[in-house]
Amino acid sequence: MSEAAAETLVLALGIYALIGVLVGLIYMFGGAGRIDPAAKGKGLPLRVRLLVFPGIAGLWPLMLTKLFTQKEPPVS
Amino acid sequence: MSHDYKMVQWNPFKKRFDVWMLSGVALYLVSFITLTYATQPEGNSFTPIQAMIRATGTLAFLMLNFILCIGPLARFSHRFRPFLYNRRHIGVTTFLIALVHGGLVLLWYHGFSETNAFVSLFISNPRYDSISGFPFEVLGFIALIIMFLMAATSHDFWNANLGPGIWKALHMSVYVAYGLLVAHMALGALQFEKRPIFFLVLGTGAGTVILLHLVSSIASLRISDRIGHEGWLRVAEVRELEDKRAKIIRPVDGDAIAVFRDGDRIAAVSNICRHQGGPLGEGKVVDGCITCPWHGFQYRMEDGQSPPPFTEKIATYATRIMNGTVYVNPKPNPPGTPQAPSEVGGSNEQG
Repeated sequence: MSEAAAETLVLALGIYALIGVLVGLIYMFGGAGRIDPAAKGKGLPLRVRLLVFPGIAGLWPLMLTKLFTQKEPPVS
Repeated sequence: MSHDYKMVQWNPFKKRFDVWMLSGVALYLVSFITLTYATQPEGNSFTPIQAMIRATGTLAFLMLNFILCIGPLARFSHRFRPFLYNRRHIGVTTFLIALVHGGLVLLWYHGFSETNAFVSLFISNPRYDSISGFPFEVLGFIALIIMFLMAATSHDFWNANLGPGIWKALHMSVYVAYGLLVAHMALGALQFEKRPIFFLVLGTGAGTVILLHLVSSIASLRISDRIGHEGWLRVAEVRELEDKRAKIIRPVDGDAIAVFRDGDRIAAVSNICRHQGGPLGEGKVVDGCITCPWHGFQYRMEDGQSPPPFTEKIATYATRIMNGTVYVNPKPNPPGTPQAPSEVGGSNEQG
């Protein structure tokens, strides 16, 4: 792998992670409750929000899609 | 089950387990580093960071081996079920140890150059067209990302919001991560380590995982002796069914069935928990309810419904007893359908 290709890859990963952090913040401050009624307000305490934050940041394309398309609440 | 989310569903048993696990982790690290210094070849002088890199790398690999062995082992012996109940904690701990390993590698081998450490990781060994010289660090990096996604989505929130199907598919990628780590070790440490411990760790670990999965798969495919009457499947002799436990039956078509015995009552339900797809048949009956070994989700034996106020439902199956042998109808009832358990010595026992 050339240095230029590696730099491009690392930059892409960095941008992905940065967007992930932003989407994670959106979820922490209300987004989670929008897709999952059980996660509204005190249903999802702050330390649990912090715990699920890395996953939202890592899977942000999926979670962003859910935020805008999901109509039914989750199974459980 | 529908409930407020908790950070960790600890109970006294899980707390004791975690204390033992973390003590074991500390003991391994101290022992490994001590032995590294005691047995290092003449002329070599490992720094503490290098010793820690090796210690955390081998420990994470061993723990991942153990995690992959827990499922098959728990099918063979109840003694391994406590590990099954706590597999999530072992998995997250394994990721954290692997993260320390990766962080130290990045710091020690790539952190002191002018090139960005991550860029250096990808270009320090450019032999991408070689098999034996392939840059093993990249394989470890990809495996670490997979392990991160699994650890980060291990909370109940994720099962509810990804759905059991996607969640399980995501977590089955542990086998991809494991394959990458085997290659990571074979192309990495084994290329320049002459001490037998590394060969032992890799060979014994991979061999055990493969062997246990093969034996477990063959055992679960033994269906020829299950053919019973009128399409019903033979489960076992009544006396062979352990009280409060289940026997898992795998029909040729359809999902696996867990046939539970609770005293004189015998009932069959789907083997798949609605929560995270856990193997219900590896759980037990607690207070008259089938209890999932993974996270304690419960279902009533007589209708496959979670006790109120919870609302989860699983498929039930008809059972019958003939001449002291238990049979199950492999056609599932819709989830939550009442299905009277068979009574040992009861009026519905035939033959």
